[in-house]
Amino acid sequence: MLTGVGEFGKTIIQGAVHGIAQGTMSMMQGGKFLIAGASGFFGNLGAYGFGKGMTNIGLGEFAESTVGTILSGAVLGGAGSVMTGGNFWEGAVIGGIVAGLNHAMHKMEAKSPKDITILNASDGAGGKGHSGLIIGNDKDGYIYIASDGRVDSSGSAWMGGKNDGDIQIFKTKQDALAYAKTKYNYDDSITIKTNSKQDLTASKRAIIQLQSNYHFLWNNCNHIISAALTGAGLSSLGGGSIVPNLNFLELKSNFQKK
Amino acid sequence: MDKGVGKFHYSNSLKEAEKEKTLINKYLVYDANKNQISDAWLEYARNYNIFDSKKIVKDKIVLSLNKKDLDNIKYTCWQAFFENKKLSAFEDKGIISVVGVHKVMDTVILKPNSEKTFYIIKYK
Repeated sequence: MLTGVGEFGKTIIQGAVHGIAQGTMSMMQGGKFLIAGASGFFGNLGAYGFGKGMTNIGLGEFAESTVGTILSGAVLGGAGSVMTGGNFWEGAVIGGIVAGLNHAMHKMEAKSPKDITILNASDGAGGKGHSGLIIGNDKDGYIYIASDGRVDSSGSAWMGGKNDGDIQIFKTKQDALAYAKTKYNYDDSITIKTNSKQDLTASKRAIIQLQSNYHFLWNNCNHIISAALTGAGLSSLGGGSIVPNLNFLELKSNFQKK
Repeated sequence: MDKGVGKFHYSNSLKEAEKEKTLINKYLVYDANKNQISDAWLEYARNYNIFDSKKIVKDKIVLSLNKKDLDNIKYTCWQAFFENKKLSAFEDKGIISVVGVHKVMDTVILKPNSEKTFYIIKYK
């Protein structure tokens, strides 16, 4: 069907087809055609560019992986959505789904900075604490990211097993917090002002971290927070402890000093 | 599945809420044409300690219903209201949940978009 056009041309066409498909689906669901359509189109286009770029730096295998594909599509899908006036994260999810069905991305720029809020539930994990993350702003919406342990016991009794990742999208911070508080007794938080580039790298790193297997020492809820801060270039705030409550106290103390 | 010590859990059905003894009240879900299309359940959260013992958490209350009963709506940001007050609503693993509902609220309005409205009415 797509003979006679170059590889990039094929991607454009595939992107347009996916854009129309997503737009139609969105409209059938009562959403806006343009927002979902743009997310689908950019998500697809993003997946293509990402694959090329990563291959050039020797990371083609990662680019071909489901995580790489979905992530890249998600981020550019988010950009497409923002450009058409939609919720950034809503677009990211739709774009990610499209890219997951097809291939991979490039990089994007969302112009509006989104704060990173780190939540802590001091009574989580039997008093060791539990941490979650909200990234967003009132214009682009909010994403909640957390690791809630593991979904199976494919590793040992205490380690391994797929991460029980929780990713949810909201229009307002109030809704994001209301959701988070139905999951854990979050009783403290810090909010860090960031720029748009930091937000994207933070959310990407957190979601990548969430894809790896749970480990109660080396990949627990804390490591999602650390990954996000590292992604945002904020690892100087600390967060080296494996105990969420201690980690949060260290982050809070360092954050207040700054 | 690892229950996650400290994590709050909710039921996936009215039947499960009854079985877990977390049910506060049953609700009925109606579409705009006054047809009953589903049921909903107002329940307390439950959590588990390291010995897997269940505790009912009475200060966490959520009103839930199954999304599959609602006209094949795939992706949306849900909105819920009690009278003129906006409540927080969200979807998680096929269950739509509304936060901020109290036992005395007899009708909660749920909107997936500007065209559709569902009414969640307390079962007397």
